[in-house]
Amino acid sequence: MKMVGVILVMAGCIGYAYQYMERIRHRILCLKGWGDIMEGMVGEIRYGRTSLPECFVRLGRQYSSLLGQCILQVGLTMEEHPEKNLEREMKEMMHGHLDKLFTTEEIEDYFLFPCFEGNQDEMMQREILDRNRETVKEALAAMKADYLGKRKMVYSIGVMAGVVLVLLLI
Amino acid sequence: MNVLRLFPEEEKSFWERVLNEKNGILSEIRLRAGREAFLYQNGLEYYIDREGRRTREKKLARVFTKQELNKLLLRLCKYSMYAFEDELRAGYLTLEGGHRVGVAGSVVMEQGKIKTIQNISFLNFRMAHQFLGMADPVLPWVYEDGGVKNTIIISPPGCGKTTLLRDLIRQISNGNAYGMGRIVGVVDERSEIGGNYQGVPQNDLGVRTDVMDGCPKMLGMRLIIRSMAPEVLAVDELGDEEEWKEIWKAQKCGVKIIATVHGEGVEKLMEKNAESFFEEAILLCRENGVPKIKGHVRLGRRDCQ
Repeated sequence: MKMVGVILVMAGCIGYAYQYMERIRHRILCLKGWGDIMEGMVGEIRYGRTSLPECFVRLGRQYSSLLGQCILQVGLTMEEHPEKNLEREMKEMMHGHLDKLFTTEEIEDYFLFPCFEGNQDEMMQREILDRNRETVKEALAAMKADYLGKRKMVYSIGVMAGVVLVLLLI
Repeated sequence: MNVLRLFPEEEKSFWERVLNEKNGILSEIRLRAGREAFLYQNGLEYYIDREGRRTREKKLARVFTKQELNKLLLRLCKYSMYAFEDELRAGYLTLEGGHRVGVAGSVVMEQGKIKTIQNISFLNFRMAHQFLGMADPVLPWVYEDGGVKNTIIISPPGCGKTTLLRDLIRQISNGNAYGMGRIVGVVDERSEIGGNYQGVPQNDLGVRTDVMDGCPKMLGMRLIIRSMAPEVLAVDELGDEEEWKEIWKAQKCGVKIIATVHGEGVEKLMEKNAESFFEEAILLCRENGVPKIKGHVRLGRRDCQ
């Protein structure tokens, strides 16, 4: 009975650590996917001079990931209802789908760049797009670098917590 | 397309009232940062109040802030100012439906050329209206034995030159009681004739019309003659000496010309020595604020040299 209890406690603690690491892995995958979408977006913007809603539709059709589907949805809504507010549409969509993976600040920083208002001209807007792409790249590199170290630490903490809990229970 | 869709949803009722055309044709809406908003309907000027209604009282007029104008502009550009870079540089935006927004602000120059316009604080919405049938009275002057004559429309600004030209193009292209349908090539430097939006004319220019949009007239005339082999070439607002020379060359290729020019009478043609190849001049004027066809002058055609 005690053995079963020990196994269950240890499995629970390691499972919790695994879940935490999965969340980090999803964050990385999400940012990586967003980075790819942004690369496509910069190409569309620079060479095709496509408007953001059109960009969203085109790229959303290419990427079947969660973010791809989000921007596709926003693009289609904006094409159908140009009177709607892109900022609000993007916010609702991104917060609705990414709340579990990213903090509110992170969502605003990484995913809502098109909604910046107050661009004085087209050069400023392009500058902001480029800067945002760099921010996402840097965040992704930092997360990746952090990932291995964090994994070791999280699993160790999980195992240690399990051992402490087992000792306490025994 | 419903023009209301171009304006923010949050202020739908305001813009619905502004765009109301029950009492006449709305021609312009002028918004200036920190100043009263105006609209022009049936040739009359009104202030726009905070509810979007027309008023004569200045103190009731709505004053737009610079931020509000910026937001509006950003939305008109579909949140993508870069996509409208060239148009903004030229000082206007063409919107879906052929409507145009003139912009003014601080111009940034680089090596003698306009790089961009910043701090846009003045917007002028010019609502597109196509008056189908406007060219009906002038058709008998434009045709001779079923063929189109080289015709020039002369008028001071704001008398409906472009509107008349647009309807002439449509009728020549579709065919009418005076002649069969002809292939018409339109050189539309500022998207005023076709009101092109993403390459597609928003105004009806007829079934046999090809449009070279956003291209300098001189270059556009050459291109369209070479690429689309039109029977009739339509150009708006001839100005430079070079453009007149190009017209001269074009009509030598056997293309019939329909053009417009700013002016009061045919004297302008004499200056350019163009009365020799234009066969018909249509004169427009404005009477009590309403554009009117003043008459026409038959010009003597000489052989081209």
